[in-house]
Amino acid sequence: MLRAWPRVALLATVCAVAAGCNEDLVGGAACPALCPGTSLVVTDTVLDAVVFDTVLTGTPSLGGEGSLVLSARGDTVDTRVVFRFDSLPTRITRNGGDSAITAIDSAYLLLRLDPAASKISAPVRIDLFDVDTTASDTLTSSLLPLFRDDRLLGGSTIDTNQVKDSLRVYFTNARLLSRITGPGRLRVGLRVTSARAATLSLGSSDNGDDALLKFDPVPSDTAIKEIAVLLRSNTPTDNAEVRTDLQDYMVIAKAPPMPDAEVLSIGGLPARRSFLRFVVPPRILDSATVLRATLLLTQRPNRSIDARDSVLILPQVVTAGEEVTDFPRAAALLSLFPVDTIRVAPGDSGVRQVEVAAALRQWTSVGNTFRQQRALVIRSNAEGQSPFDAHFFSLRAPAALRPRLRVSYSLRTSFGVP
Amino acid sequence: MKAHHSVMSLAVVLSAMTSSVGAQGTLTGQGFGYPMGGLSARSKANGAGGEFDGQSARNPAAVVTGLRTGLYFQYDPEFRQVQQGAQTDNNVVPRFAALGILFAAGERGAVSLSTHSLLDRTWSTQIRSGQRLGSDSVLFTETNRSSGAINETRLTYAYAPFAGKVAIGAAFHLLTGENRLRLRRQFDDSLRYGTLDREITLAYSGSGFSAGAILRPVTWFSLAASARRGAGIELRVEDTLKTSASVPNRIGFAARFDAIPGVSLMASADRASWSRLNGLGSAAASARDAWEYGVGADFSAARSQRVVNWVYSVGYRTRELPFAAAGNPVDERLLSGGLSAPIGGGRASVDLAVLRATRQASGSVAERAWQLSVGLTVRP
Repeated sequence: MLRAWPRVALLATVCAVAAGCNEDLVGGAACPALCPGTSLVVTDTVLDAVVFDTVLTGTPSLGGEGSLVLSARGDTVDTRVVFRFDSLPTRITRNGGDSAITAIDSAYLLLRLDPAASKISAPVRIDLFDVDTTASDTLTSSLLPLFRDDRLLGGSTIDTNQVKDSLRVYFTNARLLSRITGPGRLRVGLRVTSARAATLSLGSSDNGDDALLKFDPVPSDTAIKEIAVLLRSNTPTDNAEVRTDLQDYMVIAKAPPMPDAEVLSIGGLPARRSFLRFVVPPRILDSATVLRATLLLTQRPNRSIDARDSVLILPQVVTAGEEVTDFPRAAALLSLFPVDTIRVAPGDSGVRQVEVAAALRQWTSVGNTFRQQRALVIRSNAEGQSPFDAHFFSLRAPAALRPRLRVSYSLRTSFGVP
Repeated sequence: MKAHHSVMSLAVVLSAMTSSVGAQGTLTGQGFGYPMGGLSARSKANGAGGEFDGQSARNPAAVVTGLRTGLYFQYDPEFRQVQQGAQTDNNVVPRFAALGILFAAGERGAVSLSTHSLLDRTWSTQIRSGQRLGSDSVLFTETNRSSGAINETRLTYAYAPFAGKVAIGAAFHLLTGENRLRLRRQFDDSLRYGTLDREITLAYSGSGFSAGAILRPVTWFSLAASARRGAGIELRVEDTLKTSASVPNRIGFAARFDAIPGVSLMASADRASWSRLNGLGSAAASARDAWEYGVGADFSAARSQRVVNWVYSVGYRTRELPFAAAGNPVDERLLSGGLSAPIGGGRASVDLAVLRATRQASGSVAERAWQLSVGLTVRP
């Protein structure tokens, strides 16, 4: 027994040594009593760091809308929607044979609808117009005259309780048949009218919510089911991407005027986004750790439309390099995620804080090997899908109202010397 | 670029409420760290044998006494408990304490190259606090971490004339090492507020000389003494010379009584002038000169007629730590025990020591630790 205990001691020591290999250093119970030292200095500075700002339009492009706004708000907003069915079926297979379509029934347009983004408080009438023309039908000036009675293809009245996830707008069968048997293509424009302001948010092919044209090609034979026609655009012939975009698009017939130059506009119709370029002192970007950076924007109330409703503002970092001097192009090259989100009501006023520390961390010289522009684009989450337009004072405004950047940073001074 | 765009500089300088970058959080982690003492596992066990022990970094003359060519490795983990009021930290600190090699140089000489940890600065703290950033008060978690040490590398030559009754030795000391520090302050809302994450390396370089002697006038009594004279030491931050000071001088004495067969009784005293380090750090890291006293005994017992004895040891040391905690001097008491055993037919030996450390300073912080020291010697 006496000779065994050294072995026991050895075994216990081996176990203890093994336990001693698992480092566990984290403490703090004795802080701050035993944690004297140099305090970390955080400096809070407000800079006039925005050196250039401008308002840009053109995003989303025509046909690139994530949803299609069909709206009628009196004298303020009037938007139309166009769907292209450039290839209509003219023949069907029946009883093992091929026969021409000579009559149709129950022809309608099946539309996806976003009930959350749609607002109607009274029954609305959706009219369908033949907007096919040899003129350039992407120009508002060419399109709007085509929304007239002699081009009416049909229409439906929608009550407030019918605003669900889809809706049907019916054609006059004979008028659609004439398009099938005639040119073989349909370009249909939608206009909404109502006794009160109405906005319908329709699905877009860009989001996979394509509209469908449906009709019964042989009304006399119940065995033949309705057929569905997909969106298709055959023009322009030289650009497949644009051709796909133009399967469905939005036309703005009437919208609030563009704000003056004193204002940075975010949202609205046509959609606007603001581009802001910054110059931040290198001692902050390269020689300090930015703990917080807040873009201070002074909001100017815009009470032209739905002043108390709200819109989500997204600041995104411009990823374009400095060699991209075309602002609209640079403003389209953005980080995937916004650096912050704030919700504002267009009718409000006061200073809004947009947190942009993540952007400043990207703008350091060390990490900026691609010479990324030090710029932000501020856009609306409902860009091109909502008439809400938030206004902020720009660099052309009086000095006290201009955009500013408040930075809390800590210089990279040495530490750790006891 | 407009000159910094007419900075409307509020330039409000704020400081964190409790944060600090020297946040050691322990009695042992103050200043440039915990003095490891330069003792081998066996000398830690008996508390007072460092002056006679060639594996300890004290007396250069000792490398020639009783050792053959061999390699030595020592590992010293510590299981530490720091208590303040109702709050307790339990930590495990692994430490690689020493590495050495010894060559015989002629019949009576020996050369040794070894490296020991002089001041170990390994700690980590985590605190919760808050500060104002812009217009908001925000909470954060701050982690401070330090690892590394100032190490003492020693090239020693020792000679034992007069049939081993006298041993003398001299050594050149090179002090090198790094403290790798990391400070991370992460705010609760880490999306909105940036995380402060900094790393820095402090590098040390210095030198010194030492000499020592061991006298054994009679078989039952030995005396040993040694001294180290420190030269300069520099602290560099990222290759930039930051500060300089002097390597601490040291002087030590010890006596050993072998009058009782199988029993060695030892006593030692050692003084280090740590204050020569002052100026290397800030005034808050002011070091004070410190004494260390130790007493102990080795007990030898043959396990069989063929095998060399196992040695059992007990010891006690008391010393002052060089760096004060919040201005209060820190004392350390170490009660130790251990054994040394040959393994592999005498081609290797293992030394084990277990120490109970109690550290005290004025104030409400109490620190206790179990230290383990494992030394492995291989002789080809």
